[in-house]
Amino acid sequence: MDAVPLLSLKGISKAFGAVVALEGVDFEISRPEVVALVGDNGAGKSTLIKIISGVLHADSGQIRVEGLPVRYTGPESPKLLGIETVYQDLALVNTFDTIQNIYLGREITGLGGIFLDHKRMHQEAKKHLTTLDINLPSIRKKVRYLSGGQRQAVAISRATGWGAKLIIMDEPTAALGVKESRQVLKVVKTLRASNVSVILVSHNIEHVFAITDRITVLRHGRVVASRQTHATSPEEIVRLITGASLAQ
Amino acid sequence: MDLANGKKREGRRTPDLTNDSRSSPETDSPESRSNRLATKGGEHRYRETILQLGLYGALLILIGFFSVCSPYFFTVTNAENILLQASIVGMVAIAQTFVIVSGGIDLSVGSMIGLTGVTAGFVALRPDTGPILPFFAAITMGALAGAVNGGLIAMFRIPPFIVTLASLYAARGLALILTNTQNLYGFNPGFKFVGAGRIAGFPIIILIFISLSVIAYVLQEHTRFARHVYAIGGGRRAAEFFGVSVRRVELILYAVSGAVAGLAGAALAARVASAEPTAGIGFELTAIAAVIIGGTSLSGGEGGVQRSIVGMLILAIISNGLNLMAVPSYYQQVISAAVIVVAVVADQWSKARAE
Ligand SMILES: Nc1ncnc2c1ncn2[C@@H]1O[C@H](COP(=O)(O)OP(=O)(O)OP(=O)(O)O)[C@@H](O)[C@H]1O
Ligand SMILES: [Mg+2]
Repeated sequence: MDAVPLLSLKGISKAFGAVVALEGVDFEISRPEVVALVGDNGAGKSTLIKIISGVLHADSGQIRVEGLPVRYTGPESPKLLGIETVYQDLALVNTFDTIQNIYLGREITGLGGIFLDHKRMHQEAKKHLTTLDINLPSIRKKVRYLSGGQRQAVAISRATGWGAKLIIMDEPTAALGVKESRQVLKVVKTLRASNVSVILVSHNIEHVFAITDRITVLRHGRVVASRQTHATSPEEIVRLITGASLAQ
Repeated sequence: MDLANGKKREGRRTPDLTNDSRSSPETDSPESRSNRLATKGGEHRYRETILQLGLYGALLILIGFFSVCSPYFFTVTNAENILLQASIVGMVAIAQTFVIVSGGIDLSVGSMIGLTGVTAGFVALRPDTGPILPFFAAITMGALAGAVNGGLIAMFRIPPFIVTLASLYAARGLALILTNTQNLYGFNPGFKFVGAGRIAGFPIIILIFISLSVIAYVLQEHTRFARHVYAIGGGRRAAEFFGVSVRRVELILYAVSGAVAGLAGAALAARVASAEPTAGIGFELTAIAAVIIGGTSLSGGEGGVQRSIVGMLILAIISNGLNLMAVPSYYQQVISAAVIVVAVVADQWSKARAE
């Protein structure tokens, strides 16, 4: 792992009116590393992720990417730095097939940038899906006909197709069945193996333990603990989430 | 995939930025989750295929039916009649297809045909302007008026229905004002030749329509622009989030729709050798009907010009065939309506979710 963390947040705070969503949050992720963000409903996980992905702006605090301080103008900024986010609902155009989704907004063109290079997009997408070990029944099928897990896989492959260093996923397995979840978890593992870091928000402790290097627990907008996955237990994490351990 | 571009490095150098939550993505709603889960893939794909085949099947059945019913139907002359009839509205139906695919609608094209027709007419009144100049004037006028539509829709986020309904009236009024409600005739011979002449035995109007169809189809299948039009209709927020410049696409789209109405307006004036400020009334509805019969969904994201052309041919064949069978025109309207209903029901069926 690099000495300089891929991403580091220091003293991030965010309030929505009177509601303090985040308060003095420090967070780091190296490369490659898979870190889970866990916490109860309303703990501030989504808010933190939106700040990292440039959708929300922190009231205070600093973001560094590979050691350099950055300020975002919007969701485009982190993308330019190799930070991509997979959103469950915004992720895809339902009437497009897998290739069209992967290349939307960054189509490969020949002939003066006007005409699409279908062949190259097809080949590159196929290669990319193979690298990620994603199996789809047909990459020509409109994604609205794919299962939830397959759609998630398409969204992830879109996010990773651009030399991304960090992929953020907010509850990628929340709506999925057992088999579909397994497919998504497998993709996360493959990403890590190809030197891509992942921040994963999840309520599923089992999934978290299956694939992460580290688990960061948020409670009432603060980081209450950050543990190496191999050095903790599901019981401890649950205690941290609910706050029982503080009383001990 | 090595798709890193220059922008990536540039972003690093300009890190001084302010927040912008315009495209703030909504997090997962339970509704859309369950919708997604309720979709059963295989069967729907199969239904879509049936629908596509059904469209071409319907065309063939109609041709067969009228061929049996009337000895005059299946002849070269009559085929030419049908194509001539389909050509002018067919042109605007092609542009309308892209507009509808983007999730919009352009109600102004009928009036635009009137306005651009008289624009072409004024130019063609001069003996020295030949065929090109009047067409150029009409297309420019259409593009400008269309750009006004597009500008209002893209910049001020006014629904296309409202903007183009307003310009339906505005363009018609302008055409009547400019001509003082009079028809223009006495055009230069070059212009009239486009309307009545032939090249290699084919009426020029039909050749224009066929060329436009081919160009539109190629653009539809092979350009990034068209891809973005489909993306906007199929998932506007996703398209925005992925960096598609939705406003730019919309502006161009409506300008093109106006330009094509200009082409159709000039072609119609040339064909009837008279520019009438009232020309094209109701053409927008026939064009929209053709698009819908073709199976392009009004909700956007799906469809294509090839389908609208078949839709247009179906409408033209029904009208022509019933004429040959001496069925009064008011029956034709009811039958056309029935065709539209069947098309929409079939479309719904193909998309109905398996609950
Ligand atoms: N746009 C907003 N306006 C007002 N309050 C908000 C907004 N977004 C989040 N909050 C509040 O901030 C707090 C943190 O919310 P956040 O969505 O980050 O929680 P979360 O950890 O993602 O929860 P969950 O597990 O339910 O997704 C909550 O109290 C929430 O009500
Ligand atoms: Mg959340």
